[in-house]
Amino acid sequence: MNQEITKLAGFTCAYTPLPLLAAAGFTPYRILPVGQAPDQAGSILHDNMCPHVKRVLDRALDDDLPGLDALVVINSCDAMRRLADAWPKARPAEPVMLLDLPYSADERAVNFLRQELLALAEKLAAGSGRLPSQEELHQSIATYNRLARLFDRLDARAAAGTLTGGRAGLQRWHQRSVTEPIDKILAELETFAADNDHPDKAAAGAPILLFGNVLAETEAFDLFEEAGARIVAEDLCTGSRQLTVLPENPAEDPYLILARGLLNRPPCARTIHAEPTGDLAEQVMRRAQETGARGVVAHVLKFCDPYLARLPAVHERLRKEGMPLLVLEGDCTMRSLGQQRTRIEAFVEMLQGEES
Amino acid sequence: MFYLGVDVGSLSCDAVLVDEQGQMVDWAVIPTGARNVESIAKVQRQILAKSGIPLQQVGATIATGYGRDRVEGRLASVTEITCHGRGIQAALAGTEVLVDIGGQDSKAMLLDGKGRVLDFAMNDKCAAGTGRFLEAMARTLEIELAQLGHLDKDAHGDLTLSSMCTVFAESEVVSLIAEGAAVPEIVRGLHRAIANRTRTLIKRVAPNLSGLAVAMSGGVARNPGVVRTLGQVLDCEISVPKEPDTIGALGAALIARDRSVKR
Repeated sequence: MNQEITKLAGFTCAYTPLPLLAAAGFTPYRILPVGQAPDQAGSILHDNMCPHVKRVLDRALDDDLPGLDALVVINSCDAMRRLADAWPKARPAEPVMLLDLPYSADERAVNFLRQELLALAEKLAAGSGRLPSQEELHQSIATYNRLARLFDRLDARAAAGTLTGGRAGLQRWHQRSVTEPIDKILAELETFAADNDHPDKAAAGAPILLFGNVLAETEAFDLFEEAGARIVAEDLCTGSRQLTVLPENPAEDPYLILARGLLNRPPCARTIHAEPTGDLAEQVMRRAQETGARGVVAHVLKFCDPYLARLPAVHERLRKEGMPLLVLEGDCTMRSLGQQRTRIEAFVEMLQGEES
Repeated sequence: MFYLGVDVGSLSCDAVLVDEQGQMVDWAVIPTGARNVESIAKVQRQILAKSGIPLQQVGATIATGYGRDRVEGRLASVTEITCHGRGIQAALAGTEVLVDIGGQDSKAMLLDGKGRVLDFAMNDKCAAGTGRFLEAMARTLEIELAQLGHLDKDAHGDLTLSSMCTVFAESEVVSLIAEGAAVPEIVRGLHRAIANRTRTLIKRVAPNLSGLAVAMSGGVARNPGVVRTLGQVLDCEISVPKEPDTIGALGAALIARDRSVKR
């Protein structure tokens, strides 16, 4: 791994090719939609716009970010595209690099994304002065795989309710893993993972599957656990979907590995295959059954059409199986989540069969 | 031994005492006001004085409502959704769909007919159609809140309110008054607006109400105009328990009793 990383590359989407950014001499820095930056994005973007994108822009306008040497935006939805358009108004000195993301994972799509990754590497190299060699990229993929495997192990312990700090603690690690240098976080996380299991306060909670898009705040996970829920599986853009183990094969083109790996990772509502239409519903139901969840919580941001359009089908599918669903609409503030407290507690009481 | 349920709502603070058999012994309702800790203490004092039961004979207290965590000495906090489900079972056994419209939120619950919640939907992000909304409208129309529910009985018009936001609806009502619309017609329009909004909430948990026993609780259930209009909109009969605003506290008291018996 490159020991001279001094440059920061901001990013906002879980589909960002982190191993490539690191190999090109950048520390990837996810601009999480957290913090207390005041609402200002409405001065550039429409008010009825994705709250994730608006919070990211709020942080930029409030200078609640370190200086970035590049911003890598995945063209994963219209809102992200608008963020790329708006960024120069907020931070004119920071170059924006847009990467197109296909929604399918067939060979044409993989080859297309490979070309996009090659183009991104060139753009990054223009900023850092280093175009990563194939060997460096392979090595970077292997390093990120170590991190992804560690998170898989910790996720299993959180699911069992034996991870020190519970889901909120794990979320803190997720946040750090995308905002701090990989070598530093890897060393610290390995030490943490070597710790023995401890029964956590959530161990006796009602098992739920939490899925959706953006839920970055650690306090949100505390809220679930305090309400008596145990998150046995989590499928969020700001959590488990941030990192996936990719194949390691030094004989293969690493750009192809990266492209194929990104497109074959667990999909979000934007990348899930459009046919059959109920695919997300099937995926959620299957995951809930596999993990022993007794209920499902969908946390979806306002105005996120890819998710909101699919929720009725998810609701119908789960209802057929007698699997309760709670839908929470968020706006990337804890203020909004605090309002959801009664819903979360009532849902947990319902799962526990409170008082007949 | 007796068991106490305290429902700390946004508009009213309600208390119910039940005995060992789960029978309601007494109830009390006072305005919550701006200092809910004082209101909680006051309603507890009031119900004990009213019933003549000393505090030492209260075996357990369950708190519910948005201010539930402010109740000192409680056995536990339980959400108002669970408490209303439990309470309505005692007041109107066999209820399968319950709509609770309180001071500043509304909820629809699908129940198993035995008081257990199977699904729920909740609107707590704005006061549209809630008790606070009706209070504001009554103030604008310069009539008593209690009058509101009866005024529209003989109204037949199809006047509608396009906005349910409390602030905008108030402006709309002012405009209607300026245009000379009769107060009963405006009240009918208000009730229809609330009923239509509530129908959307109910349909989220029970898309088909055919054959289901539907009931309403919460302070707004004291308004016969809203209940009547909601029944017309849903094309079903809506039962209302005797003291609809105490159902949450009743459920809480019964849960206090159940938990104490189990222990």
